[in-house]
Amino acid sequence: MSLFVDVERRFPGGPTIAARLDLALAGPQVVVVFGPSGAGKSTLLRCVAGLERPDRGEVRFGGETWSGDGRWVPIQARGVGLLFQDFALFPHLSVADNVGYGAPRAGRAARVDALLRRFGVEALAGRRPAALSGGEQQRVALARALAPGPRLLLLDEPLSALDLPTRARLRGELKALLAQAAVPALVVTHDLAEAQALADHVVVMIDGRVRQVGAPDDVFDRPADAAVARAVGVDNVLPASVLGVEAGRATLEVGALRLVAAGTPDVGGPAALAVRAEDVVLGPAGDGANALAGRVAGVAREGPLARVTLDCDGLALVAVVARRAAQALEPGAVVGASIDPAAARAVPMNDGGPP
Amino acid sequence: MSLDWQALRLSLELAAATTAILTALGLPLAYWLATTTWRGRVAVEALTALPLVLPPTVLGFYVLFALGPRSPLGRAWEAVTGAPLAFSFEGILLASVLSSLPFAVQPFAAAFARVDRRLVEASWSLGASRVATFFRVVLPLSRAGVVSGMVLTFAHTVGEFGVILMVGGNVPGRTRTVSIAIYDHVQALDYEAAARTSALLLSFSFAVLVVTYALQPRARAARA
Repeated sequence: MSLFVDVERRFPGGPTIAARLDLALAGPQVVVVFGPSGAGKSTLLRCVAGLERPDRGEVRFGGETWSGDGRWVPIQARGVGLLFQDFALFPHLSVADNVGYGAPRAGRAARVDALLRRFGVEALAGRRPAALSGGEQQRVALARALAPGPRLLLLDEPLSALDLPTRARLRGELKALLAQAAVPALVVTHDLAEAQALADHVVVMIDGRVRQVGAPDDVFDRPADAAVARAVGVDNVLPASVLGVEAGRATLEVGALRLVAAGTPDVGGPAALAVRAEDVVLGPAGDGANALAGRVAGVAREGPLARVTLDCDGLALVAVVARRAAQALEPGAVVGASIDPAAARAVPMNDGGPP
Repeated sequence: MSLDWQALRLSLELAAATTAILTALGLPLAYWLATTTWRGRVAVEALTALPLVLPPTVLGFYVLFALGPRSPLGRAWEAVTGAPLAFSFEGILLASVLSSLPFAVQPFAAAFARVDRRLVEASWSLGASRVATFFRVVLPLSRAGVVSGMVLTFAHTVGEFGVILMVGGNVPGRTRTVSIAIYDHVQALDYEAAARTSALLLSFSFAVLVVTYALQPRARAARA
């Protein structure tokens, strides 16, 4: 499957979405478009679906031009299956009629039967959607979307409307169901856990633009720039200047500190040090690379962990430690910290600081 | 004791015809109003609501003028049918269609606007055309609103007075509807006949409204 999107969509008095995406997928993989709310992810999805007309640009799928060059293929002819937040099942139709809605007339009953069985909801065939649990609705919605034989599934924040425990449960189930569907899928979400659970490929969108595309490990562990680092939940994104770059590593001046991190930003350009809180290791002050000392400014519990904020010569650095380990950390105490240079990233700063 | 059966029958015929025409015209117009993003929409909305605020005499005056032998419509009608449009059943039908327009279009449009947009989009993605989506998803989910619009149109037409008096005059069997018959009785100081016919109209209207409100979806029946 190949999907090419290069669209511009302006909203009066709102942001301009100018997204470019060129995906070539081997097999039925899941592409997650991830980014903060308002980044234009849904607009991108709606342009692919044919629910939104881009002001400019094109959408191509396989060898077909869906929009652009004066062509417009209506959504009915694109062969896309949609899955919405809340699943949007037809409330006035039974489960079987929902699934059969878009199934080809010939052999409809057999096809509905097969899909209901495949997703384990054959016992619910006669029920109305209002009588289904969230998990059942998800299965029925997926069966309905697959009934016409789509070439691409589009999921718009599929789990966002659910309460937290249900969401966590359905996340894992959705991954399995998508694998079972055997159709490539484009999933839009602002939920990091959802993105990490589902993605074979990740597309990061921020402020209407695609900022990074890659495998999940690439994107989550090696963010391309400071904005992506913040979006993928890197706790420490500290403004820095680049003193030198050598062998894939950069020496950064971060506040009054001098630190080494992986990455090759432009020397002299605006940059940032991006390091996850779990990669800041607290312990006796050492003297290796990236060893520093700080004063404990605050400790906040987070379930079995504790989030420790250190003041390292005026620089706020966040670390995560086991809660037991945090009990020894009194505010004001001086502790050593070290950052593995391989776990820290030196990235270009391109967004002018935190929002 | 004579009830105005002829007038009542004419009123019911007029109401049925008006309801049929306004359902056929009002459903697409209301759906367009409920879904369009065109800015000129507000002008069309205002236009359909005008009969609510205009005195019936004003609406009637314009319709009478449009039906008259000097207007293109009146002339064309007379050329085709050989009879004048003013003071005819067809004339008061046209007048009552215009005058009842908001009673059909507003409930229709409100019901359509309540249908979740994503259900419509899901239907499109499943291959259903816009028209098929309207009949398979939008209309079934708007049934209560559509029925109440039809009932209100019917009831409003039965109670129509000013516009019909302006446009139809008072021709027994052709334009003398039940409300005009009551007016006639009062003019003729036949209060007994006026009271009988009025009571008939009152109980009819009350029954219609009871049915309408009974059809409204309750909060408990609303889907999640």
